Amino acid sequence: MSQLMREKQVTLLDLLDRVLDKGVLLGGDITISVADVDLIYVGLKVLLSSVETVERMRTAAQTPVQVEER
Amino acid sequence: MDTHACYVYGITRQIDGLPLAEKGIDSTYPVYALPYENVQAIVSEVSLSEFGVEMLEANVQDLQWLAERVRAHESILEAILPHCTLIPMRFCTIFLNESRVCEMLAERHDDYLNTLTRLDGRKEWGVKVYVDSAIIAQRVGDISDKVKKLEMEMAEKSGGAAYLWKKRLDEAVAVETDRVSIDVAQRSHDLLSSHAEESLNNPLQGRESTGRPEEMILNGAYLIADERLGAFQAELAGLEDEYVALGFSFRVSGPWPPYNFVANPCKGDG
Repeated sequence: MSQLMREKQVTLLDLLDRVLDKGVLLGGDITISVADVDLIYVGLKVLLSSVETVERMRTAAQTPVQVEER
Repeated sequence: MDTHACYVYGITRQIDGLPLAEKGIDSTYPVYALPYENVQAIVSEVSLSEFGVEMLEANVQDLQWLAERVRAHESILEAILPHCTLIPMRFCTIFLNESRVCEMLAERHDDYLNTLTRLDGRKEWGVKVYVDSAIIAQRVGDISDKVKKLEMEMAEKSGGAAYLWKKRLDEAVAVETDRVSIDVAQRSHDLLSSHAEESLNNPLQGRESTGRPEEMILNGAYLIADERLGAFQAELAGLEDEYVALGFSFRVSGPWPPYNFVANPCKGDG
């Protein structure tokens, strides 16, 4: 893995660690109604699973994860 | 039927003229400020076809989607960060509509002002410390008498005795490198914290199981007052000088919006 790619991955994890797990967390009693489906505010539980996904992908593959810069 | 919702990136004081991105996290809609008395929420409209909870649950499993959206979230906040104090929200803080956001601002108005005051003139910096296992294994004899003694004794042994001494040496190296790593991590955190208004020793991030040589030994977050940044960076440079020969490396990141320093003590959420 090139140094640059590694730095990008490291930065992405750093970023995910902050935006998914830190910052203000507002309580889960806000609902959004779309037609007759109640949507619940998306909290930490849903997003934690994505961090696990990232970790799995990193350790399992050891191939660079292609991430497009915005 | 509502097909859109209101995504909140963060909270600032009620200030005009902040650089707000033309494209929000849903690139169809711009970022704008939604004021309430002395604060404002930085928001943008999002389509529920992408950010409704079912789609979101699917989308966050897609690393490509997630990476692009978190980068968008962060870049919107980083554009504002040099211009005013900012409380960052967690990713995907989404409300039904603007009036719901204003209700939230009304409820938390004074708390937000207090937090903004606490954060004024301060930025978050991250420091991660790593150790290269191969290098420290070679060098630990320089600083550990126990290891040095075993190395010297082993040099005089041969045959079966040498094999036994090698095993003892390997064990001592493992124990001593752990001890040294823990000491370096603690000392680094203490010294860096001495320049910080607040600091956190965060859980170490995912261990690499593949034989990558570097192991994380410290994952620190530091809230640094602007006028103390020079001293903080000098401390960091000093630590690097002191420990690089043993295989330690220091990676600094920042300035960040203060994600690590805006927890809600009253809500009891981790």
